[in-house]
Amino acid sequence: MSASPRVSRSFTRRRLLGHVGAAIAASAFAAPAIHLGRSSVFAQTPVVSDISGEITEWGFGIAETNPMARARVLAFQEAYPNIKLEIVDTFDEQKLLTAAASHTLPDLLWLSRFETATWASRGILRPLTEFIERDGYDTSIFYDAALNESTWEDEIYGIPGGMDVRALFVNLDHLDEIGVDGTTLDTSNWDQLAEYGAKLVQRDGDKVNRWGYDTKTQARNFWLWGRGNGGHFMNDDATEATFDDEKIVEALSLMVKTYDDQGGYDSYASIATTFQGDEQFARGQVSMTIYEQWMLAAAVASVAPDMNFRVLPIRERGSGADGKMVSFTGGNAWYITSDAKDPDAAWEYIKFLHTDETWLKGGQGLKELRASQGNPFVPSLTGSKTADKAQRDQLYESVNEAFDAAVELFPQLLEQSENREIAGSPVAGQLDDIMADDGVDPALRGTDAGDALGTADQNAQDAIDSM
Amino acid sequence: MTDIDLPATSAIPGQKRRRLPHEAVAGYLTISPWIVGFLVFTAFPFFASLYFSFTKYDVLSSPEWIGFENYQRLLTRDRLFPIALKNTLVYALMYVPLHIVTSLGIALLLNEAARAKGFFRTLFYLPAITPAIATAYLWVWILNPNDGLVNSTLRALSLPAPGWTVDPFWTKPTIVISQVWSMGAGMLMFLAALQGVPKDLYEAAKLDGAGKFERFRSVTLPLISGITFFVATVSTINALGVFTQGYVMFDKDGGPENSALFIVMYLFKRAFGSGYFQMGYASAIAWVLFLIILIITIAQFRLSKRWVYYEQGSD
Repeated sequence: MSASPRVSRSFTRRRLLGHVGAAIAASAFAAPAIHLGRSSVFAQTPVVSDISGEITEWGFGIAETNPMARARVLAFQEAYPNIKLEIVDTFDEQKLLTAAASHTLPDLLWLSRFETATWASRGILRPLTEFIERDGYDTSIFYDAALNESTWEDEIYGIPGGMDVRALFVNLDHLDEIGVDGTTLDTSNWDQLAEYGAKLVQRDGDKVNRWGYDTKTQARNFWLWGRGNGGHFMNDDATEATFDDEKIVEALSLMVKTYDDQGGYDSYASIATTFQGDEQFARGQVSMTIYEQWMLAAAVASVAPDMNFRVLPIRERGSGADGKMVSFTGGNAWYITSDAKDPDAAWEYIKFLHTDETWLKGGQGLKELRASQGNPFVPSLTGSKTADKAQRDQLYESVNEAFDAAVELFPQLLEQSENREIAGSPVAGQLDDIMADDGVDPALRGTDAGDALGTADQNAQDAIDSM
Repeated sequence: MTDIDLPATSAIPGQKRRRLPHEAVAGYLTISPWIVGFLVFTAFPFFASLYFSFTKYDVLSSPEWIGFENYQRLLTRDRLFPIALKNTLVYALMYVPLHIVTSLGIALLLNEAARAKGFFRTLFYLPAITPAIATAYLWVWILNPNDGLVNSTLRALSLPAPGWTVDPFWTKPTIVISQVWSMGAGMLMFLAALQGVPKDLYEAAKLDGAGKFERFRSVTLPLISGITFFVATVSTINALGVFTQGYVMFDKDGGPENSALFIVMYLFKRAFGSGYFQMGYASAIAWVLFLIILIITIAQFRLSKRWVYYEQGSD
């Protein structure tokens, strides 16, 4: 059987414009739609449902280069032949905002969980509690951090459909050069990591050839370091900012020192736009770096699968080599909108996409794609504990010690991870900007960390109060 | 008052009533697409944004009238607006003169060129029709502080290599360079103006003993001053509305220490940024920018009387 979804020919250009973002906002208003046929390349014998309906989803593209999504959506069409599905695979805030204002929202949104409170508080998302209770849907399969981030004011609005988590990628050969065994690195000793970073950096005059230790503080990862140092950014109900918490200030001061010891933040910034994006670590341009787990599959597996590396969890500062792992997670979830014309069909779609069987079909598709590219398969993190386990047990094949250890580590890390405390606020996006622009960036460029975070805290509270 | 003898036919009232309305209807029908487009997509949003600027409005809820609060906050309590305003004005001050000098300089060279004039005209115009996003990425690459083309060359010559994209001091010059490169439209206008300068004026000046520079200063500049004024006015308005280059080269955050945060970028962030949706506040920013542009443009028109030369008609 063959699948032949009809895809607009103008898609490539539109996607490019979309990637560049809102610079050309109008392009988003005309995002192309994909109407799916009923056949599938993943020939199965599905249990066919007679539920009928018509649903539109935004944000979940099913390009052939994304078999994890494509296989699952096509499987849905096999199982639900009477539900007509329309896919608009990209959208942005402007499009969503105007659709909400004109009551032309789609049934489903594939949206960052970080924006749950942002959109739920403005009334465009529909609580899923009624569906969950009606069908006895088991939400305990999801990692706590993912489910918490999909919840606002005790109502679950989203069903997690993917996760990212941050860990330390370490080039063992580079560490060996400075006489350190990277496999036994104590990642709770943040000062020591900074010292190693200073030794690992390589430069030729003012030109940096290799960066030592990239904490990604500037790339909105400071949340990890602040929490790992025992600080809190918000109170429990996300109504009060505590950006200038003593422990947060201490953590930022250490991050500043870590850059300074390697030649300063300007020196780092110049290579941040030079080296090859996600492939810096795999290309040996950075010795130790915090990164999301997907770098393992997207860069290391394809660029340097044989490199000598380890993925280690960052541990709470001073907690010892076996101390508590710290990280924060993100990722997307499925949401039903308040304007959904067919919420029942939309809910069926969500449920189907999150069964372990459906995830395995996606994983199988991804594995076949990786094999065709000559790259090892690394399971994606789904947000579901059972689906992650099923992929590890049934699809993953040992690559080498480093890959195997990383694949085992990620679910453990997810169990102990948190979501960003600011995510609970309807102005989460503003708070994220304020921390970056008023707190982290000025501190990295010379302002006292306490002063910068004091300003950030005041601005954050103003933003919260203005909502 | 001069008496006009009207043709006999125009004195017939019935005939006049029939013919003129018919012509008017045809005229209005012909221009109606523009009128409708103008009213719907320009005039209405223009006045709507003025109304929204006095409201608290997030698009999803009804606007709530708050008087001058947005303007008060913008002008007295907003930390980023003064930075964005200063950045925008500094950028315009750097860009406009450089744009005029470069456009005119290239146009002068092309005007003097004996051969391959068409080829070079096309070559210099190409950046103007290259998408701004593509040129922005190109310049990010060329001016990369660590191993960009410019800094690699400077290092090879043992010269200091500026932090074009990472040092707050250099971010605006970086954008100016990338924008001045796209001076094709200005160049074409200057070229057309230069070709319209009567040759006999140059010959007369030459006979009077004027050198090349004197001919340029006393003949060329006055005679192209109308176009110079036009290019200056339009490029000032464009510079004050700078958005794409800053947004692409330095991301939406406005670069290091907000040194590449411009007013339109800030407006966009307030209106559409995730978690913002402050459409009323963004409208107030838009109106402040509009007033700034209006004041500067009026000032330019007033000052133009002192230096722009318009040839008198022959009759």
